[in-house]
Amino acid sequence: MILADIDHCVGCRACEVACAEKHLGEVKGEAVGVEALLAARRMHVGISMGGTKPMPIQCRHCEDPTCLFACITGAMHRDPATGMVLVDEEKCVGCWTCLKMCSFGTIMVDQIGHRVLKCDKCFMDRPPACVEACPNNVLIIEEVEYVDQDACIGCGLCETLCLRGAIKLVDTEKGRKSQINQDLCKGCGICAASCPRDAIKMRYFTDEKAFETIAELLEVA
Amino acid sequence: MRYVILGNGPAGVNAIEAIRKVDREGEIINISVEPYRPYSKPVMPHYVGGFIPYEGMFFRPEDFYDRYDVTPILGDGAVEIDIDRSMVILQSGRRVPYDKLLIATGGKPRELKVPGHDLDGIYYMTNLDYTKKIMEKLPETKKALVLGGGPLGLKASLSLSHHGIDVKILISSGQVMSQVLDPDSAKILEKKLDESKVEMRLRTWVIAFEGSGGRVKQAVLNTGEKLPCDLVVIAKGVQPNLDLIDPKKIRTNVGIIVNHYMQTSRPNIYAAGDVAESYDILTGGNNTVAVWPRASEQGYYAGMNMAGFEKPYPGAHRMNSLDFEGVSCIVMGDVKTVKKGFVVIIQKDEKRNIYQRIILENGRIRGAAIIGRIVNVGGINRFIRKAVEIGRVKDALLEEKATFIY
Repeated sequence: MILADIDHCVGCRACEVACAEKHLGEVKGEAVGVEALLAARRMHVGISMGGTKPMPIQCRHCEDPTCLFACITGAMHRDPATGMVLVDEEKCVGCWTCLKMCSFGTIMVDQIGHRVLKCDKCFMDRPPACVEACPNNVLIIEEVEYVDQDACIGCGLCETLCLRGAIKLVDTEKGRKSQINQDLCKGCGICAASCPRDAIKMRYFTDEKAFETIAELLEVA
Repeated sequence: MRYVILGNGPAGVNAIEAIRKVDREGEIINISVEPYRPYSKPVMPHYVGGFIPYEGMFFRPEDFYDRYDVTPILGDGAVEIDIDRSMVILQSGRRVPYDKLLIATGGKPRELKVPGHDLDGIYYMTNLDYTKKIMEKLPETKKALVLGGGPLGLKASLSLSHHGIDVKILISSGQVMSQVLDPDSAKILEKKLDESKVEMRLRTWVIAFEGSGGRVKQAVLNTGEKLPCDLVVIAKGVQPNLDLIDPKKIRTNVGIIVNHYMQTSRPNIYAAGDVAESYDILTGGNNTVAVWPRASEQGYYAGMNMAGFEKPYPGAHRMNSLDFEGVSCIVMGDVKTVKKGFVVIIQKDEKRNIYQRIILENGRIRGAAIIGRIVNVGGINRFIRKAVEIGRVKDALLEEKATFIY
C-alpha cells in the first residue's frame, strides 16, 4: 500500500504535477499550465491546520466509502477486481455531491470537463506516478504485512477472510504458502489476527505495539 | 430469513448492498410500484435537458438484482402492510410474507390542487413516467411554466430552456431556494437566472389553470395576469409518502419516525430515505432530510441493522448540491437561522459570482453555503457533522490549500 511519511513533506507538489502529467491525455478540451494541472490531477497537496504542515492527500479507497452514498448517477463505484473506489468520468454529471461527503477532501474538481476526478492508484502501473515523483521519499509503496513462509502451513484461512483478495495461496518450493499482493493489501490485519500459526506479521502496528496500547488503556481504566 | 424491501431508490438499493455484506444466505425481495430497475430521480432534469442519455439515469448496472441475489417485483406496489400476519399485500393481490420489512417508498409531490389542475400538459417531475410525458410534449411546446424555486424547479427550467422553449419560473417566496438558502446567497443564483433565458417571477403563484379541449392553455396568477402556456411543471417540493401507513399501527409525524437503528415503532419494520423521519443533528429532534446522500446512507444503516449488525445511525443534517449554469452551489447544514451570539463569516466576490457564508454557534459550524467556488466542502461538512470546535482553523476554512486531516 501507499504510505505517506508526512514528516518529510516539504510541499513541493511534485506528486501533484506527476499525477496531472500522467492523466493529461484525459483532459477534455484545451488547457495549458495551471489550468491543465487543475483539470488533470487526482490528488493534491494540502496544508494542515495551523498552516505549516504540508501533506499529500489521496483517496484512501475506504472500506465504507461515503462518496458512494452521494453519487446520483452511479458513476462512483467500487471496482470488484481491485477493490478501488473509482469514478466513471463519462457518467459523472458534475453535481458535486460526493465532494462534501468525503471527510478527507480527496475528490478533485475538473472545471473543464465538469466532473470529478479521483485517484485510481494509476491502475496497475507501478509505481504510481506520485510515488515515483516524490524527491523526499514521502510517498512510498511499503509492505505493511508479510508472510513468514516457513511458519505458514497453507491452510488458506487468510485467503477466505481477506476482503480485498490480497492474500492467496501459491505454489512455492516449500509447498502451498500464502503470498500477499502488496498493491491490494490495505494493512487491515485480519489475516494476521486469524493465522493459526501466527505466520503473518504486521510491520508497523506489531503485536508488541498492540499489547502496549492495550496495557496503557487498562492503566487508564 | 426473508427481507422484504419496499422501494428501489437509493435507500432500498443501499439496504440490499448492506444486507449482503452481512448475510449472503437470507432471501431478499425488492418491491416497487414503478416498473423500472433502480433509477435516479435527481438526474431526470439532466436527461430532459439532453445532457445525459436515457441509460445515464440508471445508477446500478443491469445485472444488479442477479449480482446481489435479490428477487425483484417491479410494477406491483404494496397497498397494505398486514402487521399481525407479517406480510405485505400488493396491488395485484399477491401476498408477500416478511421476517424483516424495510419501508423505503420515498416521497410524493406537494400537490397544487387549484382549478384546472387536471388539465393535460400539467405535470410534476417526480418520477420517470412524468419525465417521459414531459419529453413527449417537448417538440410541440412553445411556452412552459415551472412552478417552484427549489433545486428541481431551477434545474427543470434550465433544462427546458435548452430546447429553445420560452420558460418562466414562478416562485411564491421572495427568493430562489427559500427552504435552503438565505436571501443573500440566493441573490447569486438569481443573478445567474437573470442572465439565462429563463424569466423569473418572485412572489408569484398560480391560482387557476385554464384550457381548451382538455389541454392547458394559460395560467391565472395571483397578480391577475394570465400567462399562456402549453406545458407546466410543478416543482413545489416533496413530502413523505404515508399512503401505505396506518398511523395507529406505525408511529408517524410528517414521516415515519425511526430510532437510531432505523427501526419504526414496530421492531421488525424499518424505514429509510425520504419517507422516514430520523435524528437531525442540528435540531436535536427528528426530521426528514429528503436528499439523495441521506437516503443512501439511511438505507445502508437500515440494511446493516436488519441483518443483525448493530450500527447506530449518527444522524443527518440537511445539505444540497447543484450546479447552476456553471456556478456551483453547495449548501450544508442551516445557513438561514441566525440567532444572537451566532457568528457569520462572509467572503464574496460578486463579480466572479462567488459567495461564501459560514455560520458558527459556540465556535462550531452550523451551516455553510459555498457558491461559485468549491473549496474545503468535505472538511466543513465533517465539522458540522461532528460538531467540531473550530478554534483557530476558522481563518483557514475558505483557503484553497487548507486541509483538515487530523
